[in-house]
Amino acid sequence: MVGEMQSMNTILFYLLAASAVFSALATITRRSPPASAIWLVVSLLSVAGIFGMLGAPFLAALQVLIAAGAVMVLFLFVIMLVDQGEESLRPRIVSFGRVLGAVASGYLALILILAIWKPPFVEAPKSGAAYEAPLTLALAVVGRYALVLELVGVMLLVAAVAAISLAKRDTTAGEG
Amino acid sequence: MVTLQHHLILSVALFVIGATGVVVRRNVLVMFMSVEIMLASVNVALLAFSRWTLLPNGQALAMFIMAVMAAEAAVGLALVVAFFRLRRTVFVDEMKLLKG
Amino acid sequence: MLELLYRHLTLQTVIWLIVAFPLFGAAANGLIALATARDERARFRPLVTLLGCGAPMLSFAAASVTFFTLTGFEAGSPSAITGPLFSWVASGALVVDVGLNADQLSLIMSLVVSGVGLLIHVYSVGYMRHDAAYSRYFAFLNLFLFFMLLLVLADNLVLMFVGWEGVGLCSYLLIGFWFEDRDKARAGMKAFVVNRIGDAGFLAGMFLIFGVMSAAGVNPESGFFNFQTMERYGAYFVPVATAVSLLLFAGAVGKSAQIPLYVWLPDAMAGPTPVSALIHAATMVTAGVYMVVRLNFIFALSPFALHAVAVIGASTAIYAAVMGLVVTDLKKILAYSTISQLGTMFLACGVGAFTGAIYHLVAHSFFKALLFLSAGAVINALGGEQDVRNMGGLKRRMPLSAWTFVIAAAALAGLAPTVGFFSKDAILWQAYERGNTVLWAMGFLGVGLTSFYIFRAAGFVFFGQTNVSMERWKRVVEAPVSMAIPMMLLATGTLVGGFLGVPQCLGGVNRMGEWLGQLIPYEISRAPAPGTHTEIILMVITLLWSAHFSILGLLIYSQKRDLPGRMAKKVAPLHRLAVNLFYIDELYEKVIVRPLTWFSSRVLWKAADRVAVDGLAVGGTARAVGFMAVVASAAQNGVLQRYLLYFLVGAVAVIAFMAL
Repeated sequence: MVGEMQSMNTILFYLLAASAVFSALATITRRSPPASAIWLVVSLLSVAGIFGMLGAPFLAALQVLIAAGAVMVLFLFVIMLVDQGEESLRPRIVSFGRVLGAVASGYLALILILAIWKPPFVEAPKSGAAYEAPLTLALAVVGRYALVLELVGVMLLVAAVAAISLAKRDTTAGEG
Repeated sequence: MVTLQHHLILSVALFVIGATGVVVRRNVLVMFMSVEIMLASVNVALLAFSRWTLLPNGQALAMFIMAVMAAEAAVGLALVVAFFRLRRTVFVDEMKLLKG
Repeated sequence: MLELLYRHLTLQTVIWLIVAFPLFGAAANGLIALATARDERARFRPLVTLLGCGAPMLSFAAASVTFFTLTGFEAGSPSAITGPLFSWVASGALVVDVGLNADQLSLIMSLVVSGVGLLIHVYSVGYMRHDAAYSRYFAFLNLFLFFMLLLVLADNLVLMFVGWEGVGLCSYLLIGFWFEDRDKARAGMKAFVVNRIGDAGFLAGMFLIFGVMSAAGVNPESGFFNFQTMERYGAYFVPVATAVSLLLFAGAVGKSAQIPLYVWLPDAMAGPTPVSALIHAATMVTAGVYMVVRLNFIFALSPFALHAVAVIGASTAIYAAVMGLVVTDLKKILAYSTISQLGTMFLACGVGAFTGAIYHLVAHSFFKALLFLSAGAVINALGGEQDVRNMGGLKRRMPLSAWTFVIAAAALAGLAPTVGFFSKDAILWQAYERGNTVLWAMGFLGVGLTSFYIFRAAGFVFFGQTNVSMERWKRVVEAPVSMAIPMMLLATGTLVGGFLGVPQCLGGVNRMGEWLGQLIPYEISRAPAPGTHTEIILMVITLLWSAHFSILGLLIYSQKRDLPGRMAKKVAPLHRLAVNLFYIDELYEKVIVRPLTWFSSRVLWKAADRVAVDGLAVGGTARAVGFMAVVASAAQNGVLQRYLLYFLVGAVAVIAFMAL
């Protein structure tokens, strides 16, 4: 049974991982922005699954709600607002900069993988419900990271104000 | 078995994909989406480390990162909208006001 | 209170005051000149006059005090050294201190400079009274006095050179005083540039001295250029004596207007007449003679150099005297006369009669300044007329100026009992005894020519029929008091000064010679025996010779003015040559000035300066920087994405460095 659980875990991980990677690739290669957006949602949902597997169900929920939910909906609104049609209407320019970027990224991946894939290879330690419970997280957040919490709150407020003022249409006459 | 390294490799893969998207795509909105991918990958790494050390710190940080992600998306998109009103374009090649 | 002052007033301080007063006067007047540059009103005139004349007066007082403190003319009087005031240069082997030395030579020179200077300052009050740049004039004149006193009182060659250059500068400033007139400004430039050529030789001589002294291992602390040090180690100069002497003499040739660097002095007459009197008669031009006498111990080591000095001096004397015969500008006649007399002084130095040269220098200061001042009175009265052919018979209207001019002319001609008689006689006698007959003959010829041309001038200006127009004649008045008093004082000095140097053969003591002679062992060791008969015979012959030509000159040019014209026609080509000053200026212009200007313009300016420096070095650097900036700024195309790419590449590099 445990072995099955373990192999289930493994299969599930590889499934979700493959999904995340594949849809991420799809995101950056689609020509139409709405398509990219949809694929991004898929990727984020896969990542949410990974979160769940890593013993953070609360964060998985947050990921779905905030990232895949609010943020992506906002993205879709804006995409539709500035819809310029498919990018294929304009010729895609394969410039030196872009090639260099791709190469650099690949190189980065190579370096990091080489750095990471080193022994020891251990399994996840046994975690109890204590770890997985949101309570643990909550206690950490309001306890140890209370200041950060407050600051993040302020930041969100500022961001909201900024977003409103930036995107506001200038309706007053004569003011620059 | 799934080890820490697996999760980190996943994180690296997502991060690199996101980086490529930022540098290669011309549409600013797609660039933003790539940034989202990168942020997600960071969260994966954080949570993996948190799981293997059984400390809640990684989770807390990941949560804050998500808050930041949301704020950044809001402000960034507002900027895109504002610029679109100015120049009617979403392609970074044409956003050259800083040239020189 | 007075006692406090007295205690602090050491002799050393007084000696410094000789130099300090004119400097202060110059500074004060300079400030006033700057302040009133645009102000046409003459509010500050009284103050400027007070400062401008007070400074030389105090300086003369200080010099007199020093002189009398050091027991005057008595033989065996000590000299006073102020010691270094401060250390000026102390770099390695080159050690130069600023200090003054008041020995017999310096004292007599500073007395003459400040005394005659004072008289001329007072004269200038009247002469320049209508000039707008009154304060500037006095500032420059005081400054000149400062530099000249520094020159004669300096205790080392470098400080003397500072004074040397300084008087050259003031000469330039004062010759070109009315600089709005291009010709006058050009005359100032000519003086400075020609002087500079001589100074190059002077500097080369100084370099050589430095080389000799340091090679000889002399202790640098004592100052290589200090006169006392140099005299003490005089033996080291033997191998280079000729070179050093000739190089230093080159400086004297420039400063004292000898052949071939005399061309600036006639043109220098463009400056105000008091300036000509002070600088180009009494003081600056005598600096060369002073220098040779000061460094007599070096010259004494090289008979060749001495002979060269004598020959150049004698030739210049004759050449300039010839010029004096044909020139028609009153001031230019006097200018050539100065050149000629300086030549005589160098002749004296060249035969070893250094004290005679100084005696003649002192005498010449008196009567040449007087000649210029009288000429200035005439020029002023005639409203600026300087051509003698437009003058004549002015004795009737300006008797004082006429008499002073004649007295000075008599001194110049060497007629007894003026001081000129005694000084010239001393030189000719020494030339005969110490030098050779040829030099004596040249000097003798020079005396004749001198008598003739100066009385030619006197005849033209003051005697005979007048060529002055009626309206001008009515406005001719005698010089005002401020101008007349200095003239009278100088005239008195000319008449009685002879008693300073009455030679032994006539029963006198020759105070001047004895007093100065202590400084110059060379002269003493080679002194001719007081030969009574030969000296007296020569004296009489010379007196008759000069008297004859004086009278001849006066008569011809007052009564029979057409005679020279008729005679000139008979030697027309020669005469034309002389009138055009032997085309020397044109020669210099063609051979030296024009090639130099061409070279400077074509090569140095166009090629080197414009192309190389401006184009390549300066412009090229700017263009290179600009080019690199263009290259670098290509990386900033304004597209944010590109910048992010740079981030990525940079991050990859760093991570690669850290991880692998």
